[in-house]
Amino acid sequence: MTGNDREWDSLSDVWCASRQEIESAPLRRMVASHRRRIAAVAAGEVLVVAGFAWLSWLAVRDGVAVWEAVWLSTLWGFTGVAAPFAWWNRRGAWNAITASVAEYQRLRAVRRMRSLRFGCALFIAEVVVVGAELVWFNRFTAPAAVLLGALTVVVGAWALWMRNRAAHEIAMADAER
Amino acid sequence: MHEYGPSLRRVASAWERDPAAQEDLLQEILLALWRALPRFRGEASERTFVFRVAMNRALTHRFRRPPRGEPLDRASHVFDSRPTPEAEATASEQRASLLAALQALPLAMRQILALSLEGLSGAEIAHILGITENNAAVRLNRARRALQEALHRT
Repeated sequence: MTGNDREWDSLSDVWCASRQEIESAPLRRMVASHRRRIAAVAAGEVLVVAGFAWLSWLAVRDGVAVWEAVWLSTLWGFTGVAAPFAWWNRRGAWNAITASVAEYQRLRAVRRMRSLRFGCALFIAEVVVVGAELVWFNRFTAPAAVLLGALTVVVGAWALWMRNRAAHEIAMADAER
Repeated sequence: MHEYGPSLRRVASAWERDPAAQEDLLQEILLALWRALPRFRGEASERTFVFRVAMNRALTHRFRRPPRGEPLDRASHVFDSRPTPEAEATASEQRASLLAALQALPLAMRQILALSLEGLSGAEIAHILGITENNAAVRLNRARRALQEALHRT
């Protein structure tokens, strides 16, 4: 054993001398609260979808104009695309936690960029579809155009911020290697 | 939990200087382990599995909450908050110096040093970090030198 090894072993002993245990009672409470939070989030998501379905049913029951039917179909269509993606992408994040650190960092960056690309593509599709529908039903007024423009600016700023954040994470990950 | 609790607490202290942030990180690691345990298939040892999850969770925590640049002298108060008898004063001081020196290093060095100080082998460290054993050895060597220099400075 070299002097360096001995020195390292003594540092390791100093490090491991701190043996502060984790109490199990607070941990149990934390897990229970986490379970409740997961259940509450799931229930919230179900409630939002159910409420949306109920409102749609009310609208259809009372008779809807053609433009309202097109609106409802558009909303349901985009929700049907976005919700499964969000669920799948979130699930992927938890699966990656058991990967090696290098793989986890890469997966994390990929997931973030995937979310960003999906969000931007969905938004562009929404603007195009909604814009076309507004024109179709002669409702493309100045306030509607301003609203769409303002939304585009907000989403564009968000996308830029997200992209910079993802790039920063990747740069940090690379710097750590 | 009894087996890995103290190790996880020490790892959290290497990543975060602030005691409240350490506690937050520790809780996040424990929750992540609770969620990840059903996926443990025994392909790796339990120890490397636990440290992989801990390191990954610490990374997420760090990206989400960048350090606010606390002064290093706070480190001496955060490693072990229990009151120490006089006989342990020297050991406590050594632990505080070691932690202060460790926390002064870049994140990647802290990561590999914390694993090595926990007694993990080069192969285990390589498996946790997802790098080759040679790469792990080179990085560990470099990190140990940096730690020695930091220890001499403190």
